[in-house]
Amino acid sequence: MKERYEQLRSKAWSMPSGNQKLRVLEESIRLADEYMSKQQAYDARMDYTDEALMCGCGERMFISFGWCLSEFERNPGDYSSHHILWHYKWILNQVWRFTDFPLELINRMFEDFKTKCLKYDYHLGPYYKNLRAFAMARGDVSAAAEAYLEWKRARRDALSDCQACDHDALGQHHYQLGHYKRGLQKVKQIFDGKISCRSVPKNTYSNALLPLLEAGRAEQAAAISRKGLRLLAEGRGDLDYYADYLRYYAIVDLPKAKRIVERLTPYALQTREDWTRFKFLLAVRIFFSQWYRKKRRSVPAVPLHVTPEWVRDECDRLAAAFDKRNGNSHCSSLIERQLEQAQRLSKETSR
Amino acid sequence: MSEYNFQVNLKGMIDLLSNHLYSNPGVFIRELLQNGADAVTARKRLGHNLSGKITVELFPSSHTLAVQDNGIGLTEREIIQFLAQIGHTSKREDPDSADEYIGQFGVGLLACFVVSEEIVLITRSAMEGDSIEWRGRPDGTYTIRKLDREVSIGTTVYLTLKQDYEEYGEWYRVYELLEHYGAYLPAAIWLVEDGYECKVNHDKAPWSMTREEALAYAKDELNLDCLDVIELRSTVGEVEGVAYILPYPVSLQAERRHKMYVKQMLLSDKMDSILPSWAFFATSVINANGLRPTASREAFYENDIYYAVQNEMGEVIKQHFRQLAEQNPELLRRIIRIHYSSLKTLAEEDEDSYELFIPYLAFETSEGTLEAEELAVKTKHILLTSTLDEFRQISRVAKAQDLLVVNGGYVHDYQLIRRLPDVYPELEVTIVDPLEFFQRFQELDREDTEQMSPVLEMADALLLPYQCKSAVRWFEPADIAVLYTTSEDVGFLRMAESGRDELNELFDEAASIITNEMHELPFARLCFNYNNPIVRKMAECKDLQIQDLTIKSLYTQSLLLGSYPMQSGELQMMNESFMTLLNLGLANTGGGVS
Repeated sequence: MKERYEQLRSKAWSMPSGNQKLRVLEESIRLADEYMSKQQAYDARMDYTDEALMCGCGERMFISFGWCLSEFERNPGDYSSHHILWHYKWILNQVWRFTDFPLELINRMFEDFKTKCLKYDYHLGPYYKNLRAFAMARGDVSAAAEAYLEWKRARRDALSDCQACDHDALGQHHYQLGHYKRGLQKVKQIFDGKISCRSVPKNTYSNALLPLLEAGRAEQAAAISRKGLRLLAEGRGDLDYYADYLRYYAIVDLPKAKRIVERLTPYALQTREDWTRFKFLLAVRIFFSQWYRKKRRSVPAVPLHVTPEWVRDECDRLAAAFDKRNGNSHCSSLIERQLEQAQRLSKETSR
Repeated sequence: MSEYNFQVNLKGMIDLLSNHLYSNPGVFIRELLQNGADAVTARKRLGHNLSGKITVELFPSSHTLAVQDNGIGLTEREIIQFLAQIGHTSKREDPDSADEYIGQFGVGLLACFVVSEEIVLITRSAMEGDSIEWRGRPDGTYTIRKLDREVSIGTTVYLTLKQDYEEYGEWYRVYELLEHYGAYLPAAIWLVEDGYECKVNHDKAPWSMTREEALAYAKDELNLDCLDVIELRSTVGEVEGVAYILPYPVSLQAERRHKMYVKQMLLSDKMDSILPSWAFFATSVINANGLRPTASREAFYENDIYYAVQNEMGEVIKQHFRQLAEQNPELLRRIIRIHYSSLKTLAEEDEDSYELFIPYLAFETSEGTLEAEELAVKTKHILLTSTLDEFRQISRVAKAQDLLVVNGGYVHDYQLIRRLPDVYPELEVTIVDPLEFFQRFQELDREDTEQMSPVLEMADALLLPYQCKSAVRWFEPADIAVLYTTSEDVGFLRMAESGRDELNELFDEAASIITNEMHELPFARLCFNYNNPIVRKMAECKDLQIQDLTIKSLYTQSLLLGSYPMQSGELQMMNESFMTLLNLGLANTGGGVS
């Protein structure tokens, strides 16, 4: 069985990200649970956690990571506290993306992470960084600003994200406040190719497209979009990024936007990550609003039920679910704001 | 207010540049070759008619080597300006502009300090008459003096190798490095020791060769018996080269290695991204005159020109395949057979390539491996599964129903098959829902349905803990008693369930939301085949214990046949039913009675 377990893990290693890989890892976890040591079951689940995030099945991380965290709590001496807390950051960045998770549970996870950081002697930068992202996603600007300050004040340590990721997040913070030029200034080093990592510049490029248009730098946006689109893989894993490209192309290049809608919509229908689904379908809604402004347009080749009306209702449903959970109306007004922004920018760029 | 200048620690700077900028000590040879080649170019620009020559002479007894060129040489003023100022280059005004020179940063000579404590440079400029000696040391000090004797126009650099770096003065090592970096430099490179001399560079570079020569080059120099060679040309970035189609399949994860030259000088033999990412079936030898190398000269700046070149390379390769389809389809078929995974990636992301390759691409089907062209001839209706497991479940019975099922579980296959009607409009592709697949089979008449109904009720009760429901249909082939189908979420949900009791309170709560609200656990389906004699006998059997045993045996056997993981309850079920059936059989034949 050990051989079979090793075989499966090495097979998974050489497979491209996706559902098939998850299946292979599920099988290795089952073998580890039945025939191998706890440590091996732990390693297999950590691999699974990585892959679940990569391939856009974020909800599955909670199952595998939760098991590892619980095992770590029982036997802290057997595992690396850094490794588990590093993955815990991903959990914090995912947990608010699901409407089924109530606020109270999300807050408890944040608190649990904070307690563990202090217990294992890490600074609280990553805690505040994630707190900021969550606050911004529910439209609580003052909480986001407070967390932003704490994050900037915290000392960097081994648990901090890399420089590239942090710069990217600084940029995002300013875009989200509508300070596009300041945000773009923060990511200049990334644009210049001076800092990068596994996720940067992939996410920097997708985040910067609309801010670049807003800042009147359409040419740079076009160049960045060409470079950035090449970095994405087709599938559920990069859907979040595709949503940004779709919003952008719905403004500047409708035929290209149509191709993204046709290729990626099936994945948006599969994903259980509500935030990603919301983001992508909202971009599809923006696309439809631009596409059908001219009559006699061909109908994009998407599953039959994905009509403009269905997309509108689905966006509204998701926004309502987020707003109900968050206790405000941020996501519903986000729809209006993004639709209005697309219309305005499309007029400006066609001038 | 007073103004001051920063003081730079020159020794530290030189150490930093010379020891850390470059990846190995041997690069000093490249830097010297580069300076020599650039000096020859500069002299030719003056209108001098000469054949460029770089001579490397070894003096093993004193661990010294001398690199001499017949290029433009340096005047005293130029020496002070260029050699003694780090970062100042004689070669270009605007570092972003392309020109004929290889070097551009003015730091190249520093690489020599990695292997030598002193650089001695003797030069005479083509512009004025004095012969000059410059001696530079890594602490930043240097001397200049005019020589009494007149040397020939050009520059000679003398290096005495430091302890532990003596190998860089030995014939085999120097020859290897000269050939590595300068095999295709236009200036002739000669290596000399004790009066014996030998020309190092080749007469022709691969990108200037005919197809046959280029294939022979791959065989001799790269040890590759390639399937085909593609001539690469790009006006953007002034690129020329050859791409060899490898004779063996390459893994998606394998490191791509392309040999990259800049103005005929080797930049890197481990370049990974000059061809588009899908082109992992090829290795290439490329010379670029218009791309900008980084300061270490081991990579390029990945700027817009770089991406434009990458795109154009991709277009050239695609165009080559289009020509092959017309002129040599047999070779194209061979290439596709060997590199199908790479070409599938290309076909998936590019519409033109899809049309070109799809007829030749092979897929796993319920009737064996078939190329898309064969699929289109065989059927008008394809059933597509989205995972390998679904395919395994269904393909066993599909053939007997005259259904053609294609496995979409492998990377790219799902997308490629889904788009088949774009190229074969008469084809219809339906995505299979494994849990509803049994609905395609023939329903039983009323009498038979009534007879099976108690069996189904019993099966549902027995299998409820395992999230499985039963059904009955009549289908071919008759030797299959049951068809077990399940959905891909089941594996995940079983994993979630099996670890539940070990979760802490916080994550247990999260897990229960995921399994109860986000994922509705679908029921697997066990469909009995009324065409199978055992199933009919079971329906007719009045003994409830035997019916119970048969259901359990058929269920666990179907899990085994489908290689599904079994929960401990299912394993126990299998053992118990098997042992009881054995016992019954033995008792009926009088076994156990001695």
